[in-house]
Amino acid sequence: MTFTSFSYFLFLPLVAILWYSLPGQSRKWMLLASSYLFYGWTSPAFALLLLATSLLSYCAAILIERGGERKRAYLTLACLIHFGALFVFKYLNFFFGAFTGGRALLSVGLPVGISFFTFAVTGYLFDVYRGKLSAERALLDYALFVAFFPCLLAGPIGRAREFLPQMKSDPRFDMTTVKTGFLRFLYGLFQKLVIADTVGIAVNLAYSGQLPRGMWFVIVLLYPLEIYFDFAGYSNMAIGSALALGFRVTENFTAPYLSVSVRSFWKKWHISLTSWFREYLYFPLGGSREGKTRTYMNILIVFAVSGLWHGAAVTYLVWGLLNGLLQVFELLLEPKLGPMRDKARQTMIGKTVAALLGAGVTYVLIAVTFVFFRASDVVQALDVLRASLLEASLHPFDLRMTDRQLLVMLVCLGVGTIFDVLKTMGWQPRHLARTVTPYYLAAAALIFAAALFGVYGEGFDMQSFVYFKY
Amino acid sequence: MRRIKPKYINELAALLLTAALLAAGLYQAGIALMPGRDDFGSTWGDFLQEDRDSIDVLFFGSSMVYCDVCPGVIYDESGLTSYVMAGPEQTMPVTLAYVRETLRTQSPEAIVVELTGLFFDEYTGFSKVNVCYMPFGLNRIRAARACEKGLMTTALFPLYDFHSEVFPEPGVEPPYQHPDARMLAGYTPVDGRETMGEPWERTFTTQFGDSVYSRSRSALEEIAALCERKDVRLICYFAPCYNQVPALWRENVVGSLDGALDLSDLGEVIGADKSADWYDVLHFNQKGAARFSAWWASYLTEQGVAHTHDCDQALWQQRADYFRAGR
Repeated sequence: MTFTSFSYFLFLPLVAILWYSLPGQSRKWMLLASSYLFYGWTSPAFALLLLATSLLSYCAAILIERGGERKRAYLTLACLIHFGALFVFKYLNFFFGAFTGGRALLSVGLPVGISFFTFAVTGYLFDVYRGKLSAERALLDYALFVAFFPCLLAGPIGRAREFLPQMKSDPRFDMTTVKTGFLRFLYGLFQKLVIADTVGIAVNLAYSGQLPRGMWFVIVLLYPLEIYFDFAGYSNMAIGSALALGFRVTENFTAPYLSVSVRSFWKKWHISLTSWFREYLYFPLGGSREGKTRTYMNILIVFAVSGLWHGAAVTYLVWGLLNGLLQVFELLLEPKLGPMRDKARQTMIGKTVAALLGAGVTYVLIAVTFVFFRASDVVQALDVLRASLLEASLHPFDLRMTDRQLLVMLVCLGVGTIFDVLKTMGWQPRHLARTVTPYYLAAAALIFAAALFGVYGEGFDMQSFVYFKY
Repeated sequence: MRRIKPKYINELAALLLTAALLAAGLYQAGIALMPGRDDFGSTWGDFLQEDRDSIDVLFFGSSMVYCDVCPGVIYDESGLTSYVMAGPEQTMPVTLAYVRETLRTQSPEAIVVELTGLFFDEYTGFSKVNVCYMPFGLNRIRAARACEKGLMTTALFPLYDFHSEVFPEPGVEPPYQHPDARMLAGYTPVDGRETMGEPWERTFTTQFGDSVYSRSRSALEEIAALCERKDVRLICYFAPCYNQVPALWRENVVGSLDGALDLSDLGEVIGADKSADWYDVLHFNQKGAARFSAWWASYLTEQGVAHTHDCDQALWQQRADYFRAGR
């Protein structure tokens, strides 16, 4: 089941009604059953993998906690099993194919969300190992942490130390929270169906060779918008669904394209993953405490692994390394750029120009790295970059969109940007949820816009979420 | 008993009001965005403009009806008012829904059903056209249920398919709109002769299974039962064509239905010229349709079907005049 399916539009309100009306433990059992139903909707067999992951990590955490001197061994073994499963499903064919000319060893598909729930449970095991968290004894609560349906398929990657206390506090019905949840869900739906998928039409046409080569530079600049509104839309739907049930989960994006450097971009992009890597990989490697060279090396390692987390392909590795390299360059240039930036910020005009220039340059750099993320292989990515630089032309301007489609896309991109700016200024959907008429007008407008201008139904290729394949 | 807080009542009222307005708005947007269509079947918009209880004979079926039967000619020849309510490759269960829906506003003397639809499979590629132009209600839902999986979504929520009209392909004209739609009464005039598939063979190319036939047959039996209840005469027939249903099947069907007609070879009987009166192996062109409609006028009169309904005579005379020139 996906967030954009009709079945989910019925599923979520029904689960919310049951969640708030059932007594005691029964509502937790209901939520667990609903989560497994949600996950097993399309591939029931993989629900067994989810169950096995839950049971194994539950037992492993208790063993680690009681393990004394052997706790490191227990942690290593548990991680080997969890990451081993991830490796088998996600990377085995890639490595096998690399030595056998592309042959596949396994014909099993990738279980949806495996990268996300594997990271959620291993993060929990690390926390228990470090003594930051006690091993959870209530199996039902723990199983809900792993299988909580709003975050199951593509995050935000859950943190047990945030989720489990909420589960124990037994969330009760709060009108404003529930309304906020549904509004965020609708805004996510709007971001996905109207903005991301409309931009996606042009991007997909370009990558299948159906647009003039002169338009590549436009596509290179458009793709970051598609992936952002797709994934931010998904995250909003996930966070909104969780809120509708009274749970707060980690934010995944905070207006990343308003960042003035690649480093600050990565503090605002896919926050639940980057914070996981920071906490469980970058810091254990030594972070920035072991000198400059080691810091640069750690950044490159983290981003190379982050690239591979996205997929078993050279393109993802290049994408990750490029992002790491850009941050290393920023750190190297900081002694020269920092004083210039500080000087410029002394006047209002200088501050504005520095912000716009910083955001513009960062966006272009990120867009260039995303070419490797989207391209089918490195050769195509290099060809796209070459065409963008050497063959750029707006004549003919052909994105295979009608004028009306272009207008809708630009207006909706504007709406999406305004919301991001408002968010950075402290505005929250919760403010709207405290009202009645403005709230329902906003909700109706979002549904109407998604229904009228969204990409779905016959004749349209409704895009699956970009992050479903990770 | 616990009292519900007033703020919850306000919220519930606002929620219900929003849901109702949104549903109405989305439905109307869906209707507004559907491409206009008044021939090649799906003539509901025009049909519902007819005066209540003004039609003597209703014709149902597929393109073999809407291309072959011209109500203007029938009126000219017999004074009988008729209307064609057919859709492309329309299956019998959808025809049943059409019959039910038309009988809500008309009380004809006779209902005529073309039988090739007995062999059309559930998915014909035209279900959307056949179902989604029907008036909203139980019969539309019944028709959608009888079609391929997924059509119900469009039937209940037309924007699901028709929101594409917000972004029409550049240069594509709105389809299927005839300048004199009111004159057609459900008929679709086609001109000339389609040369594809020459030489025309008398072979039936549609594939179907036993389940298709049994489903269609039970829908036809329901139509018969409905006609009996409403005291409407039911006439079933196989249309004249070259791509004929095999003789054995036709014999079986006609033999098991009271008053059913096998008109498969009628083209030659009424003098339809293969090179001048046929559009293709299945359909008459306008000249052939005029011949066939004249035959219907004569047949229906012989069978005692009489013009008993009040109608807009000026309109019907216009319809007769409209087609007289081209005959």
